[in-house]
Amino acid sequence: MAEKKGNEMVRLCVVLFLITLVSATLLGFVNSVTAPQIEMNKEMTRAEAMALLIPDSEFELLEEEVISDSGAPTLKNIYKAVQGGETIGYCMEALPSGFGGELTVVVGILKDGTIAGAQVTSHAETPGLGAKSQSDWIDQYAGMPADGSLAVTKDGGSVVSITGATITSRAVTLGVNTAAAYAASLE
Amino acid sequence: MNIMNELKNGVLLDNPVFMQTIGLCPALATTTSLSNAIGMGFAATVILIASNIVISALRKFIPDKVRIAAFITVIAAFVTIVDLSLQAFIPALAASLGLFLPLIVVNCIILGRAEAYASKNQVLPSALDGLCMGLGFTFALVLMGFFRELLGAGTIASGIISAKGIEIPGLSAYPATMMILPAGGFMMMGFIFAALQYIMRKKEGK
Amino acid sequence: MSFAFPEAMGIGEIFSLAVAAILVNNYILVQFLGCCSFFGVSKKTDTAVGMGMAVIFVMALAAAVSWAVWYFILEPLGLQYMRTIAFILVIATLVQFVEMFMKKSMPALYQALGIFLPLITTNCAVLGAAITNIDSGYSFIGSVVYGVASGIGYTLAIVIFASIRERLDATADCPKCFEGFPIQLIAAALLAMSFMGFSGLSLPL
Repeated sequence: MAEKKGNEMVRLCVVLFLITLVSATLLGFVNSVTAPQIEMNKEMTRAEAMALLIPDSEFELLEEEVISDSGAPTLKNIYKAVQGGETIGYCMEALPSGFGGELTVVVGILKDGTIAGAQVTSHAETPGLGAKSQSDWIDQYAGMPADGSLAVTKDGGSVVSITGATITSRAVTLGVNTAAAYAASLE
Repeated sequence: MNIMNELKNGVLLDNPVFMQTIGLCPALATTTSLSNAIGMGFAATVILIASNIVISALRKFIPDKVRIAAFITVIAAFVTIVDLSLQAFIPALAASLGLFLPLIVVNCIILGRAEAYASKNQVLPSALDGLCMGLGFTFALVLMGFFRELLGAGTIASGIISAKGIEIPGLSAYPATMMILPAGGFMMMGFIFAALQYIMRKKEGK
Repeated sequence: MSFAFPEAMGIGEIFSLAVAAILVNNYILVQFLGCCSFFGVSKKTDTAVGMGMAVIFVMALAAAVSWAVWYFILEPLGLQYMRTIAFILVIATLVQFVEMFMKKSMPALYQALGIFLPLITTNCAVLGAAITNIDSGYSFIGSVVYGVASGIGYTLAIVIFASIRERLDATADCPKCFEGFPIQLIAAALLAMSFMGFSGLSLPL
């Protein structure tokens, strides 16, 4: 009886182990196929956003990641935009916290101290509200001064918030400001 | 076995969402637009068919005592495969489904079919059962997604036909945004259930 | 593969995290996590309270254990893609464990919460909290607080809803075709709408 019980225990373990082993192997294989593709997708989205913000330039990677002071969002993938051998501006990703988690905002800053524009490349905001940060709402940042002083109208600034999504609007604005301040420090 | 009958059962008479009221979380959360609804339905259907096939094939090999753990492992493996593939090949869809993609693993429909059907039947019928239940789930999501998008954003099939879809004049300028917010999800589902009860009452009355 | 532990979080940050998880991002009413049990176990207020307590308990444990699994096992080994499978197994084992432990040493509590425990494995709120903790890069304390706060939010919603349902079933006079599930959904919609008011809270997140 005792032996039979021991046998059953072993059988349970072996079966579960086999299933887990097969699953893990399969996942490892799928991961090895998809991981480079996922990485490439992210890079493509970034490259497309940068080309849209500062067209016809070549981008040189300056810095992979900059952890800002407490409260300010992290900056990633800071690029220098070069046109005909001359630096005309910078592009970088800012990662501010929105309503539903982290947003990725690609910000372009021109050397003349204005913002070339911004693009939200990933977010987890509410559909219909915060998700509108991916619509043409974002175009208003183009041409604004890049001195890190932008604010939404509710806070006394000139950035018109998305209706019902002030938190998202503030987050994007904070991302743009942090990026602008960092770009200014590069010169 | 009658395929048409199975299909009718899965999609209408035994619809997982409308008749069995399971799988409500994704039905509420991912139906803010028709394209999301179709994406979620498609992902869940693929996983449902795959896990039904594997579990049915292994049904004599898996001891009864650890069957739930074994089922969950199989389902989680397929969920991860679909998750990674979507992230790699349809990144936009993966981004808009977000957290609910990995959460398919706890979708009661999938574990429910594994337990109630696939663990007791042969491979082919199990695959068919997975397909029918998956289509039923997709049908429910599509119904929700279509109406929520229509009322909440004033568009039809945005992101499928074209980036903006068919815009309904008037409605797309002043949409009832609430319908794509959480409250609207509960409300839309309430009205769809009420309509179904109305139809069924009429049928029974005859 | 480089990896680092998330930064420690300040008291203020943790406090606003908790308030946001309970009210602003309420699990059921805003994020739709845990809806199945929300409708399933909300017939009576006492059972709703019991379920809520069980969820808080398991979510806190699951947040702690899944955090450790991620930062001590998966991330150092570069096995991030095994997340879903590892977390769901951790939760399932945890629930089983809690059940066994309670039965032996806390029979009174087991009597009260025991029947809810198996339901929790397939409650997407628990897995959802574990995954959100990792995605948002919360510290260990932050993760546990987030787990508990989300559980409290869940309990709050399900208890309010259960008390509405008790009145609804007893006294409401509604059109025939709305009887039962449809009117509950409409009630949930109104509850969700009132919770939308909290999204105006400006928390220093």
